[in-house]
Amino acid sequence: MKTMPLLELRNLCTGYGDKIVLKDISFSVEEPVFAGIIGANGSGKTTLLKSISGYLKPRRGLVAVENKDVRQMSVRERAKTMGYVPQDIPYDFAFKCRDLVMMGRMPYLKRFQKESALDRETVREAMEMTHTWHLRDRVATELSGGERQRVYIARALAQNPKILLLDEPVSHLDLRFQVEILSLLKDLSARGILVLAVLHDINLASQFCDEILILHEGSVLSRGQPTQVITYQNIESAFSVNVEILDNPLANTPYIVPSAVKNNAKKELKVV
Amino acid sequence: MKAWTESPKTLLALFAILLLGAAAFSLSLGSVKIPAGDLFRLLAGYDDGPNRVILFSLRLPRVIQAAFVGAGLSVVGTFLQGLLRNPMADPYVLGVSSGAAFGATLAIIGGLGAASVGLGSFLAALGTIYAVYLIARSGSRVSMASMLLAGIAISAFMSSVISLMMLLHHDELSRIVFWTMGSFSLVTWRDVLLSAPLISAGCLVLSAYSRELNVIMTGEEIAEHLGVNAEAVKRVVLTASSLVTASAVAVTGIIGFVGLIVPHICRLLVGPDNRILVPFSSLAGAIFLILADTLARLVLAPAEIPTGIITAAVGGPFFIYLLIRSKLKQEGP
Repeated sequence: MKTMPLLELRNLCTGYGDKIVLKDISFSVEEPVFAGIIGANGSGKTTLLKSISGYLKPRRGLVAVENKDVRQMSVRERAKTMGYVPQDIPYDFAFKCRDLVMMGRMPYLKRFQKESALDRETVREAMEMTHTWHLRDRVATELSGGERQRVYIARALAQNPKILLLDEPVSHLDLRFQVEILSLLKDLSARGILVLAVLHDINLASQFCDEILILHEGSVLSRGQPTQVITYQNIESAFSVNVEILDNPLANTPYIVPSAVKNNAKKELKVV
Repeated sequence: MKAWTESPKTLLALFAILLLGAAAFSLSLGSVKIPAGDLFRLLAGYDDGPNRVILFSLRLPRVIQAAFVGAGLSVVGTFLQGLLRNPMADPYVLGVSSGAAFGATLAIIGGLGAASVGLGSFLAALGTIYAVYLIARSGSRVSMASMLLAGIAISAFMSSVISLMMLLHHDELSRIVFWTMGSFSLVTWRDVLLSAPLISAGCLVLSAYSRELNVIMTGEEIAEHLGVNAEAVKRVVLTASSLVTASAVAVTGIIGFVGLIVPHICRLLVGPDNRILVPFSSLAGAIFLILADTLARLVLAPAEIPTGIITAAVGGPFFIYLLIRSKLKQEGP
């Protein structure tokens, strides 16, 4: 019997206006793993996440979760399947953390329907999993960046998703919070949620992710385990930087050290 | 304050009592004073004295109208501040006021009757906000930032046309100016019966979308990822808001600051959750406008000044106080 892929992208093309951002992307993920998406600025990472979430309409091709086209799902159905944590979340209004996380139950609640004991229990579990339960009565505007990020992850978890999508979840955080959040994401994948995160720090991605996908100019340059994907050829073509690959002694994963901006990239700069 | 937020029902009951108090206060004061005892006898129908006409034909419709307009503008302000994620938003921010003023000015210059001034401003207000919506729309999505900018641009253009019409029709200048400052002096039962159902209906529709608005306040894009069809919610909220604001403006002219400061104060009291905030805003707005209108009748009695002057005179300084307070909070003590 053929296994049903958890997530499948078939010839996905997405763009804005005249600009094509994603060019013919195809891959499938069978297991709930922690997968990191890396790539240079403008390579289409965020667009890829938003296409998977069904927020952006593809030009061609499709995204399917358990063989179901996400664009055929209703907004609510999508929200029950996938949680999304964007890069910048506005927090101008002083909502309490518990109320913020309760918003994750939105797709399950009808208009005028009160939150049930199940909803409250799910919120509590999501907050305990992300170590934010003690923040439940604090308001989001008073939290540190790391705390706030965990609260928003808790909200996405309260959606009870099969897939969790995160856009640069650790970019504004200090090292301790980066490690804490990445460990949390790894735990979540072990609990059966497919975690797809756009990450900037290649070394952290290499250390924590089960799988890495390198995006280059809107196409998948390489995909697989860190040891297969983090090679100096791949990094050089994706980021136009010369690198040395060392071995991370703790995790036995590749560790990159940039040496110089790639020669032909320099030339291009001069021409400009 | 903590005890209040933990029992919003107590505070809500308090506000309801305050509303009744403000209404009684306003009904009894004026060029003829009606003592509290007489007031209740009159209202209960046990008294057929000469004050009966003053109370039922002049003051009661006015107080009821003030309550509905205050509540409506405050609820709309609450929703637009949330939808635009901008604390400076008020019911007029998308050009409703200038559109209404344009319609009213046309009707006044055209020498049409008082009823057509209301109708003209109502239609022109709705037309303006629809134009703003069409300008800001691109594809299936409407950017709220574009709506804000389009609203400002259309307002500026309309204002210049209104100024020009006022220059060309000196004789009607004071009527137009009086209208744009907002007043309850001409309110009749007919106005109440026409506008109150529209204002109530609009506010009920809005309050049904409180939970969706909560989610949208944490970001439009993330709202879609939480299962909220943000574009559909926006259309409903904008339509209901326009209807409420246009109904209010058509009867009373442009009364500023209510829809700006009342949501602010209520948010400070009970927090940003719209399911709690909306009932509070409506009660607080009603109280505020009843009191402001009472002042407008009393300050230069027996002459009256436009209520909009009072709301702006009280609201302006209060808003500055809020700004300074939030600035101090950001900078620390």
